[in-house]
Amino acid sequence: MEELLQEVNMNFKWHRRFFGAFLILAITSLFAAFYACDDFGLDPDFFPGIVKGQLRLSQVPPEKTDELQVYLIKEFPPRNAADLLEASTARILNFSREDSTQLVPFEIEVDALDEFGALIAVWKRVTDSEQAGVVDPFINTIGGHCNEQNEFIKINLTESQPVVEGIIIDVDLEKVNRTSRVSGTINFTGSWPEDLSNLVLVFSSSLNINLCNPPELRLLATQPTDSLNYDFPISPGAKIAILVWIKTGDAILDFRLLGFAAVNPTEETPALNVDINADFGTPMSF
Amino acid sequence: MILKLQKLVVRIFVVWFLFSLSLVYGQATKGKITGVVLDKNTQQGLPGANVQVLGTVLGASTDLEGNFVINKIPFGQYDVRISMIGYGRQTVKDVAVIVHETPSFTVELEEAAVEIDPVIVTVSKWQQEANNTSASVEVLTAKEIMSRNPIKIEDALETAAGVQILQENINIRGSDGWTFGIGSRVLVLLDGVPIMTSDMGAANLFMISPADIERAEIVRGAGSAIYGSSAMGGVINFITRKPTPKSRTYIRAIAGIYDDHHESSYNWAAGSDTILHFNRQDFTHSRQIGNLGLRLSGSQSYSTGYTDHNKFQRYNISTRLNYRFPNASQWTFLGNYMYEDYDVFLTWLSQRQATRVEEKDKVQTRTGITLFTSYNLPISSKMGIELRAFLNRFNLGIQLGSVDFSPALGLGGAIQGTFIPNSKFALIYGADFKFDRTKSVAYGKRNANLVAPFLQLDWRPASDFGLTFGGRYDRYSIDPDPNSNNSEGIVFDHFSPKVGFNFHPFENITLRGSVSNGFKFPVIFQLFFDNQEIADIVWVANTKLKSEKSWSYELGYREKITPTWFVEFNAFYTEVRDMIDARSATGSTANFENIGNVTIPGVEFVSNGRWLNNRLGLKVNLTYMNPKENGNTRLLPHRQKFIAFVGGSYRPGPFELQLDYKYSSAQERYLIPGTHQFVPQKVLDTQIFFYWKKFTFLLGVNNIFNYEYTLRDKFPEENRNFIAGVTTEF
Repeated sequence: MEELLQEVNMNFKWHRRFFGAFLILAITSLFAAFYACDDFGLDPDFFPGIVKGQLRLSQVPPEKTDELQVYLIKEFPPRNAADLLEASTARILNFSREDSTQLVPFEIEVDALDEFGALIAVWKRVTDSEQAGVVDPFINTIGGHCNEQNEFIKINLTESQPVVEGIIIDVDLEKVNRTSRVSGTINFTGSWPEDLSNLVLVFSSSLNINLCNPPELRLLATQPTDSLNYDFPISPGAKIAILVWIKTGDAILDFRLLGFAAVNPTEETPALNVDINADFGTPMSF
Repeated sequence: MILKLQKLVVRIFVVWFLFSLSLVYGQATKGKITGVVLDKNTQQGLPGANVQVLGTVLGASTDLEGNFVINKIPFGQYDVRISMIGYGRQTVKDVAVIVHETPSFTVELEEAAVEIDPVIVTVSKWQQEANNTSASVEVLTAKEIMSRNPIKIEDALETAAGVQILQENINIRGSDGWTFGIGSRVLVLLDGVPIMTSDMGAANLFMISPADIERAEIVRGAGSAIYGSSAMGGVINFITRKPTPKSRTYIRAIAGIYDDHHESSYNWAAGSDTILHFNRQDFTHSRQIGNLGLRLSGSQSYSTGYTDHNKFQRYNISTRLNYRFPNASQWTFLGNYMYEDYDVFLTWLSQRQATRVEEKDKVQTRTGITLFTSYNLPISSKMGIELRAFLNRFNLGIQLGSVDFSPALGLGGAIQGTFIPNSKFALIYGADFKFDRTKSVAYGKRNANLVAPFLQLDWRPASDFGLTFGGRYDRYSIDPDPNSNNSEGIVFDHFSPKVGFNFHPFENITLRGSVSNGFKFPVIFQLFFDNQEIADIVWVANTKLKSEKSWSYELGYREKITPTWFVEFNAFYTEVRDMIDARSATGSTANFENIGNVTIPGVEFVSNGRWLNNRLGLKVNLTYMNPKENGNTRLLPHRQKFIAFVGGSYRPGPFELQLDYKYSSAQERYLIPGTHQFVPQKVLDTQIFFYWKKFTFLLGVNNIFNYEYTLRDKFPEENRNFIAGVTTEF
């Protein structure tokens, strides 16, 4: 029995020594292999391109402002939500909520070197979802990187020029300061088209729509009806309420005119009641 | 048409049943074999060992003391095989059953950490030695599974050669990409019953509690010739623990915390007091009450997630009942229920920003229930019949916005005959039936029927040479949506043949090869899911989808170098026609398309061995493959060229150290086009176990170097975490 115990004890000692050597060898070689390569996988600075600039604010941000966002987007208007999903963005939180004029820096890290059609600033309300929806740029766009002809300046990020700096975007926060209200009834005549996909009420300062500072846009229900009540908050100032419809498969700017009316909410009369007549039977144009 | 086919199948089985009865009454001279199975080290009886009379369908399990009795054996001379999970298999040769004498013997089984040649049931739906099949098969034992301390069962699967898990997708040799699990090309079985969802065709791994699993049999390559659609890339059969003759209670508790990510943008809880953590508790009790065996299990698992939108809490309850009748027939019932609350995690916009989900959609619930019953009747010593019925009810669909799914219901049944006239032949035949009922606003109301007769012959003309022939005909009929005027029914059918061989030129060497046809019908989700937006991608239906078809060719060489060490080399080539894959041409819309022809050539090396009286173990799996579609120079999306697993363990005295290293080369394409950073997977896990009396304590670190990588579009994989746990069994 003693011999057996001795053998077991020797075996255990031998294994303990072997185990120690195995442990040291295994761990040393693995650490050496990893640290020699200095390889931690994904590179935190993997951004081939950068766009830097500043937003120039000339009004105090509205009380309901959550944050400002800048989108570097392939095409404007976006064809769909995925265009916005794929857009590189910067979230801006470090702005003053009291100053009426300020310059706020932004920096967009871009996943892919490419040519981008537009750089736009978007206002985000406290309750809005984190990611802009497809109509948000129309509702909440507060500025763009544009030339004097109000056209977007393209940004081309290449291997030889992966960084673009010094961009200044003037933002219009009055547009999202929606202290007024417009409501009323839309009366329809004519038969509703079967291929109608969207019914949209556009509030624009002129009939000539400027993409660099797009009009406010509100979606309406698309169930055929004789009349439809609407009620929307908008910013004060003279505007034209334009009712349009979009055919299934068409782009968001390929709209067809249905009717329009002038609106001019002011500080004194913030709530207006305006009825609009819409006729599907008689094609209209600007 | 489908009704005619069902009637034909039923008629064939009635004729066969009458024929079987004639055989029963034709056999009059019968004896029995008795014996006892002992543990070689402890000399104690081994309860629950499997004893099989080779060349017949007769067998038994040992009782509490290790005793067994097998009755109704026709007079003659037999080989008797004794096997048990965790022990080396033994065969007692030339046992003579003669008049007025009952042969009796004692067998001593020795514990084996590596099962060189286990007895398996998945390749041909009958018990056979893995070395005698024409397929590449691997068995993960309960010990191997539990030693990886899995929170989820899939955590343990990647220790098998050629297997990689991409969230819900199980990828065997590059067969699957990543499609949220939809249209899986790997069939997952629980005790032989498919647990695929009826709408999405996804493997419902959520149902499986790791502590319930006795072993997982992984068959690589096309298995459609016996399992039909979904088995195109392989089959994984999770076999649950049988109720033990001796009362057994198992309790396990593990907990851990996540470290900070090396890539700081994934540290969503940085700056808060939240400590990201996880835990899991398992309880299992099994016992025998007379002829009734009973197992009850329950588990809870919780994780805050290692990154944003990754929290889950899951409960699993399961039971298994076995009843052995005096006529040696056996009834089995299996019930599983799963409930889970989980955070929806869609994808990352960039490495620094996750796609947000509306607060109302953020926490979702999924539930699942599986009920399974089978009756196994040995009609004679040569012939057995098994009847199976099952019900699956899963609710796994992503419940975002209007994309609302009702639970998908799958009702199925099978009838299977086994005819073993002698030790040279085994004929397996039967038919599977299934009825799918699904409903969603995304694809309407869709009912479907499956009927699939199959037949397989394993023939060993010589003891060192075997051939396999088989085939299965599947007919899947999807009814029109009763609520839609524009809906038409769709019918798919396919015949899948297979031929294979197995040859032992020397005692320790096995050569094997096979040519098999595989296929996969499009699932209801792929066909009809229409005009729904998930993660800002609009999914569009494609009712014109055709079935995928494949031919798989495989050659294998396996050598048993020592009684505890084997090596295996495999070469495989798969050619898929009309492969179905998710495609997003614009990044804004996506659908499932027949993308064309795909080839997957590859080679594989497997080595598994233990030395120094089983104290030192090393497992090495290397798989190289090149899955490409014709005309494209890059790999298929979410596939790698090279995957490897190296696992080592050493056990001096009461301690055991385990090191696992997982590597996969960088991917080259993801589903959504764009610039991605592709890096390889390099993960080292380590565990230390301490065995004391009936307790096992563990400390471990997973992803010890905090290596940051993604396997799916910008999804970070698990970062470094520290784990501690205790297990007891009594």
